[in-house]
Amino acid sequence: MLAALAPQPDSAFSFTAERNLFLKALLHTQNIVERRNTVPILANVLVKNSGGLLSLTATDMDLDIVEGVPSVECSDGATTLPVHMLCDIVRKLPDGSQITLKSDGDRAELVCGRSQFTLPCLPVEDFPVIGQGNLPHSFSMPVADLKELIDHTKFAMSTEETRYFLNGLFFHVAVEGESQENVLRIVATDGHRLAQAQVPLPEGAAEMPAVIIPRKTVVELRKLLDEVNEPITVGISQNKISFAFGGVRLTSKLIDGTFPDYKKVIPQNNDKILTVNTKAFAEAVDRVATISTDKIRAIKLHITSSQITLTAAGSDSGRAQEELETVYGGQTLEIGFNSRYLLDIIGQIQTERTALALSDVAAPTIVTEPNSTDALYVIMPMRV
Amino acid sequence: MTRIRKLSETTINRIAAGEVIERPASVVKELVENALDAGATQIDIALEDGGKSRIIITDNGSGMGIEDLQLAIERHATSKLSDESLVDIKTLGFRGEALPSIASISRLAITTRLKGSKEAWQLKIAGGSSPVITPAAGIDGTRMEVTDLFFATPARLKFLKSAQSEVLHINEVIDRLSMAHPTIGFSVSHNGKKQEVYPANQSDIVYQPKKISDISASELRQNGVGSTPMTERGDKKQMLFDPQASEALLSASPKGTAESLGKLDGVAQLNSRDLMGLDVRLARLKAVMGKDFAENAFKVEAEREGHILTGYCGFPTLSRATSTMQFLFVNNRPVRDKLLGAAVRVAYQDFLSGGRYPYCALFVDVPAEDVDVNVHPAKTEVRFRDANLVKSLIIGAIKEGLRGGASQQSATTIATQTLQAFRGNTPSYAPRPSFAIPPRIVPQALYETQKPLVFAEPLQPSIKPVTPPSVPAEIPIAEESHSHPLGAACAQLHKTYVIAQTTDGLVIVDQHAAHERLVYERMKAQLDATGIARQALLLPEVIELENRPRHALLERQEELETLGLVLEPFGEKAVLVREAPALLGKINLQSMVRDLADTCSELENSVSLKEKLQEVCATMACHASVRAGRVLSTIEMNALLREMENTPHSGQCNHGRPTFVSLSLKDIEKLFGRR
Repeated sequence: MLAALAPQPDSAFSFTAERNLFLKALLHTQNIVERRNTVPILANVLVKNSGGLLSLTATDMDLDIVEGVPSVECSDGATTLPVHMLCDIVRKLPDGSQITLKSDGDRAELVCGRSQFTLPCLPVEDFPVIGQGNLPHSFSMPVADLKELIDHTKFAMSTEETRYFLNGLFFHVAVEGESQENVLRIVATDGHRLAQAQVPLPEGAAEMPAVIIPRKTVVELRKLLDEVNEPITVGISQNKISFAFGGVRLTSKLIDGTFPDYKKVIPQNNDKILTVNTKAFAEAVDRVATISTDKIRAIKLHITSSQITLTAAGSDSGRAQEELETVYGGQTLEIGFNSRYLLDIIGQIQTERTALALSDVAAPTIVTEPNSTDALYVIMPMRV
Repeated sequence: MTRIRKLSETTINRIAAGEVIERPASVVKELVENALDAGATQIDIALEDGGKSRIIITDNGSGMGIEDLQLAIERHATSKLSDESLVDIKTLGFRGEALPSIASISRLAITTRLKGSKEAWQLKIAGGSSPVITPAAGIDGTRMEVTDLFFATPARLKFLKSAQSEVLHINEVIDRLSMAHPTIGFSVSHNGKKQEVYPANQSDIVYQPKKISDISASELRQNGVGSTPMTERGDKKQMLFDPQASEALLSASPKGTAESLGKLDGVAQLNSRDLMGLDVRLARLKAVMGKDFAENAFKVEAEREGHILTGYCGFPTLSRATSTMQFLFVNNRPVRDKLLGAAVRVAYQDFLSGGRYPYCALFVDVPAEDVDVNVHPAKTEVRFRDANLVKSLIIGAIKEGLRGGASQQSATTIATQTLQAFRGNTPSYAPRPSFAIPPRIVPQALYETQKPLVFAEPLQPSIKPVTPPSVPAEIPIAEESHSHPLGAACAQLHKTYVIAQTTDGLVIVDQHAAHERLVYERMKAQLDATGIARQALLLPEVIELENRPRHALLERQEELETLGLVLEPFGEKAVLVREAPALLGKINLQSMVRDLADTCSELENSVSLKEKLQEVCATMACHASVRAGRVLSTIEMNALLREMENTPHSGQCNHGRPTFVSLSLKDIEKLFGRR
């Protein structure tokens, strides 16, 4: 009798929310959850209401997301539900409808108009709480800056498992060469090429530790940023990082490793500067590489003072060649590249012209936007 | 304090015996080698209890006089070394250790009559005691009787295995020796039952019919213990005991060999370079390694700087899961050398997936001064003055063989299997309706669009392409089948198999497997022509290695560079990889280089890197080739056949499976009871 009257915040609760708002949050959380899971609870989303605030939480044990949902009526409590199933259901419900969910701890009943679903629940206490822990360093930065840092570098992240410390973005404070000013910088490399991008240091970030953000976090974060307009709050400790914006908080463990001393591999004395039209060069590389049938698609650049000749060899006697006018201030040089690497990098250049700083056929080449050091790319040549 | 004293002669002999005589098989090996060195042409081995209680070896060799007999059991007494140099060793034995060793650990009785002499003598010795010599009755040659082996060294006795497994070891010894001496007859019997018989004059090299109970041991071993699927064993027995089946399967080959063998009567000494000799050898190899091998082997011959290589290797389509069917003989001495395994692996690397081993029996003749057999008392290891020469000789010769006739042949076992599949492996009492396969394979559509295939008479000039009339009509199909070994394409079945008619039968081609191989070969040729592109590394990889592999790797620096891997020493314990083959993309360099270092130090070649590269090519080839399920026009099918004829190694796909099966008209006629 008494037990029935006592409030049971963890096992029985209900809420009503608008379908579109609920779906948006649900879609965000389900991205984090792996499709195949050996631990059943990890396939569930934690739906929790406390103090009038409804929130969804999902985790893969390395990365978790918490997102708030505006709700109409709700009682305090929590439950966990299979996220992919729930998401598929909500997606198919009519636009703008009201969803009511009631849970008694074992089962949850979802009602929307004349549709009714019963879903199995798993105990709330089994849901792993990663927790944010203490994030001693915190700062705020414009969303555009963060997007730019990620966009310019993420293509160069490695996927190879042995050097796990390359499977992410190296997020750190660096001293800019000429101005001696501190900048917030991201570097990524896969051992064949390297990308570096930087923005002015946000206030309060000077003391932050240098960290490596895992690949999956980068990818998920980038997806979420598209919908954001307000500044991002970043919190960092030695082993965790969190990004908070618009009711969403993404918290991720960091890669526990040492990023290689990338400054050593960025050549300082590449004095042969080649300037090309970005669009023309990219198109020419793409065109010429088409002839090559193998996986690598190697391309050769023959560079003279007035023009570059791009060549590639195909199967049997297939061959492609294209000439391009340039400005080049060095000796005649012939150098080979993996055309995909080259295209990846040129794709990042937003200015009309692209500057390539070369040294010799075996040494790394630097690619930048002319007169800018905000983004810098290093590519290793190929011997063909 | 213990004083130093000289060991007694008996103890010394027993210690020596520990090295030379490991088990009954070692006794057999030593004594049979003696018999061979004595010029015997027939050697009979009789065993009791796996040789543990009695081994009797009878030969018809030169025999010994009484003086020799007395000396024979003295240590380091031998008739086989003419001078002291140990350079010019032409006999199997030379150390003078075998007899005294055996005498010191068993009860030995030697009965011998010198050829041409009128008296025979018997010597008896037990556990190294003083010998007793008495006159005896005996025929020309020598009869060695070893009883109670290891009775004087009980420790060793305890380590012997069951009689059955000791017999297996002895059979293996005899197999190897008999392969090297095909003109000499061998027989082994165990507890009074014949185990295996290799007759001397080779007129009948097919297995003697045996009772089922007898078959088990030797037959099992023939098939490689534990490695062959049961069905294969079953088939073999069936072939032996089902007269109809074996008659069908043996068909042509024994006649041919018997003829060539007939000419050989009277040829006493085998000259291994002689062509005739090789045929005798093949006959013996067939007896030892099985009929499948003899029918699916190609001849290997090469000579370089006085080193002569002869022998036979199996087609890649005939392979097994262990290396038990790989034999190497150096100057007619059976040896076990990892050089052979390495060389064979390299030669076949394009045709067999890892873990499959081809059959081979290779005989290397090396000038006596270029090889050291005095490495180990049992003489199973040898040292070559120029091991690389021998290795490249083997690799070159096998590759040459594979490039030649072998490349476009699929093993006959496959055709045989195909026929058996048609027959359903049952005795043909009466045709059973359930075996009416043809209506099942030919899809309905074919009946409507195509004339029935004509198999019974060779080549109807009226055969027309199956394709729609839009195809130019001037394709000279009928002529093509005359001039092309793979014939003219007639039809495509199940959008997967191409049927082609040849002058004397038909060919079934697996279009995907065949095209995959063609694409792969083209890719390889291109890779050879353009060289392997190397991707320079922005972050060079430091790879820690142990001393030996590291050294082996660095020794091949230049060779590896041509394969796209540039590395240099880094400190004392590591190498630094500066450039990697671009083809491999972003691979795990650590494990790749470690594997490579291991193969480099073990096999002394860079096979594993090449394999890796070829693996990539093979995967790409697989994606770039015509899949099963794609409809091919006659032009396309004929183009495929012509390209297969022109491409080396097109008989196997990249995994060693056949790309085509060829059935002769004769086989087909048999299916219909016309023969």
